Amino acid sequence: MSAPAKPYDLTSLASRSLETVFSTQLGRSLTLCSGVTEPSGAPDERLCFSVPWSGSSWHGVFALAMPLPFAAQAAAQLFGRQPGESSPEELADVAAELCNMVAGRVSFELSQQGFPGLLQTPVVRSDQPENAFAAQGEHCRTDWTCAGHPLTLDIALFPSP
Amino acid sequence: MSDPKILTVDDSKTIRLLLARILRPFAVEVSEASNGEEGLAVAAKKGPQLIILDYNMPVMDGLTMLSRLREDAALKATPVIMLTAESGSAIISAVARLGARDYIVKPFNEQMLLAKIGKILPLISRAASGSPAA
Repeated sequence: MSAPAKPYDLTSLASRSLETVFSTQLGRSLTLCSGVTEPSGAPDERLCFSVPWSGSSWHGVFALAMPLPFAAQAAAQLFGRQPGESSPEELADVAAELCNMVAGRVSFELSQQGFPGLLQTPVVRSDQPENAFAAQGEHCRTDWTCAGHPLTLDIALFPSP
Repeated sequence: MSDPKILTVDDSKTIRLLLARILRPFAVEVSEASNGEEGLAVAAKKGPQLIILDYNMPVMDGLTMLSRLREDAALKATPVIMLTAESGSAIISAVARLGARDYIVKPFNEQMLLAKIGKILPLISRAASGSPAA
């Protein structure tokens, strides 16, 4: 049995997905970093969510990580509040929803390449995506800055059993 | 006459708060539910003129809630706009088959959302365009 055809150019796919969500929902632009950026702040000052995705020939996970202050800015903008007015739970929910939207776009892009699949609901990740995804399947990590904050999007895909 | 009622059903508090913020300037009463099961209960109690319904939710997803609404004599005519992070043709077809009036793919901008709501509740489109109420 031959290996399934692979999705291609995950970096461009990641860029289109992230830029669409951030420009449409937050009206913000992003800058793609050329190298891997070190996460700023302690691990508990970062929010990282992932959304499992399952297709017929591939399955995978899409993960978005951001610092708490960025989530606070996004929450203030989305909810029409002052910065600092949102609870930690609300900030986590904002990060989860942004991850969900990005995952939706990634899923759409994959379906356009002939790899349709379905998303599950976002789950919190306590580990660093780069550690969790190392040496598994097809992995694309992109690092970004948005309003001075570092963001990371990981797309990991594995052939379905 | 009381304000039109809109029910938003989404497991994401972010989306519920975002929709509430967007609808705040308009003369509508907004109620919320965090899954389809809760949404059916709130819909039965409130009798909304429009339901904005998420597709992917725990406990009861949007498609199941939509099909249950269509089986309910009191609620089957309630217009529904589906809100989904996924935009696959199979999903859109399923949503249309169950009689959703429209769908919105996340991410979305306010103007597009209000335009779609305004097709169902003209009050919204009049207010959004600055026209006087009829």
